Amino acid sequence: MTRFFARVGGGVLWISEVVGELALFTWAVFTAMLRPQLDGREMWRNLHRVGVRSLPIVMVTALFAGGIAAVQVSTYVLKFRAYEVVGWGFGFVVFREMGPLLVGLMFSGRVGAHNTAELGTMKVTEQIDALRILAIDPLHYLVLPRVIAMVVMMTLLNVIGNVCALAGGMLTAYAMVGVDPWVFWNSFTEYVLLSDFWNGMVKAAAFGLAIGIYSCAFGMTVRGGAAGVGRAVNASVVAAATGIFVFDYLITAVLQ
Amino acid sequence: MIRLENVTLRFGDVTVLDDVSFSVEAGETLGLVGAGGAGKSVVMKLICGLLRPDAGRIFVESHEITAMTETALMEIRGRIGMIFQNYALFDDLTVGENIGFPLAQLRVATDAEIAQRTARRLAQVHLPGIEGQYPRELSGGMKKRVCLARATIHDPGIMLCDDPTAGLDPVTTHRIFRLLEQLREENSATALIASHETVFLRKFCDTIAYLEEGRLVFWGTVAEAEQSAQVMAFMTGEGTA
Repeated sequence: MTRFFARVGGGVLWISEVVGELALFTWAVFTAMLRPQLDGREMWRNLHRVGVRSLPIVMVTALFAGGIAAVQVSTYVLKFRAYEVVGWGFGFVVFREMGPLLVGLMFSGRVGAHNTAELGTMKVTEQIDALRILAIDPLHYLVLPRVIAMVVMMTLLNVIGNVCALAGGMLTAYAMVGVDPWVFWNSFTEYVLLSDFWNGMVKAAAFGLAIGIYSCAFGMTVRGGAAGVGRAVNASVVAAATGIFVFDYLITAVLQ
Repeated sequence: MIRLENVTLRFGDVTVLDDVSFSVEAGETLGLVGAGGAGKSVVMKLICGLLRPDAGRIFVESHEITAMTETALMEIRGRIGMIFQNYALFDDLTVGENIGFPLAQLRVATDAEIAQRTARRLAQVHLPGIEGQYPRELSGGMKKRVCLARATIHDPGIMLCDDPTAGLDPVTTHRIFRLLEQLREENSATALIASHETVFLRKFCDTIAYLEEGRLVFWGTVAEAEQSAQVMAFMTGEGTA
């Protein structure tokens, strides 16, 4: 019994420690953002690495996700002959939920994990100590460009992901149940609101911020060599995915 | 000048430094010896403020850095050059960018001046013309020399060398010590060298400090160290069973 309570207590202490570290790190990032000293080269490198290199995978997954959704709804479209609402339904779901969630999770797996691994390796090979010795603040040089790049690129990739998912849905709806692309487009433009689009954009920016902060925090606090880097990458991906769903719920509730 | 007064540091329940006190006068070179895990690297990190002591005081160039803020420490660190045991070169930067990095980031020189000083430093460490290569393309000895060039590009008043010849062959080790001597004299720098190359340390240093399991068991001139049976047993390897 004592052992059970000790394990529960230990778990609670560990979670408190992680949450506390994340809160302090987030505070430090926001404070640094008030007086950013960005290195232009590092900023561009991160924008390219985070955004341009993620483009193909985001486009391909969004295109197929749109197609899969069309396959799933095709039975009901035929059953209820609801051809005129397919475009609206797709636009609503893709803009508000599917786009930001899909891109966020892809982004977390690809960019967030890579970022934690890179910063973690820099930590265990003393490169971050070397920066501090050279009188350079790692928060300004390494963390801020990454967090800013992730917010900016996550938002832009969300727009591209939305377009690809809609295209995938439109093409599959035409191929599977013969929904005319013009009917799809008219339904989309007539019923989907600009607020649906902005709702998704707010989510995308929030997901980018969460992935940026979590992936940097876990990378910068790695302990214990290569095994520690592995553990940090794992924790970072789990935390980012959890953060994405928590933010999604909160933003949906607030903006509804 | 560097001075440690009764410095103690613990990692959890483990005491890694226990009441350590010594000083290095301006322009002097101190050799830090001791077995692996004795606390040599920890001393280096305390002096540049990467670690904070649990007890005691640390002075660098007459400033007490013990409880200094990170921002205030930046100014002190700008006058320190450190050679890391594992190189700590930035993987995604070329050799030239690595060496010129402190000057470029602190914006104390133009691009042309940085390129000129980098080329001169590379020539000094006998690696001319490798500015465009990446650290992954270099051997261990070359990386150490690039690390040495980066640590001294801003002409630091204090040089901290954490095992600068670890894993190097005798010829490269000799070359590194000659370079250190040359650069130290050029800058009239105060230097602290943690190394197992005791033959070189005896030739190169003014004073020796010997650490054993986190405790300072000897601190004195090289001549005094040569009179100490305990230090000589370690330095000559005769103390081992």
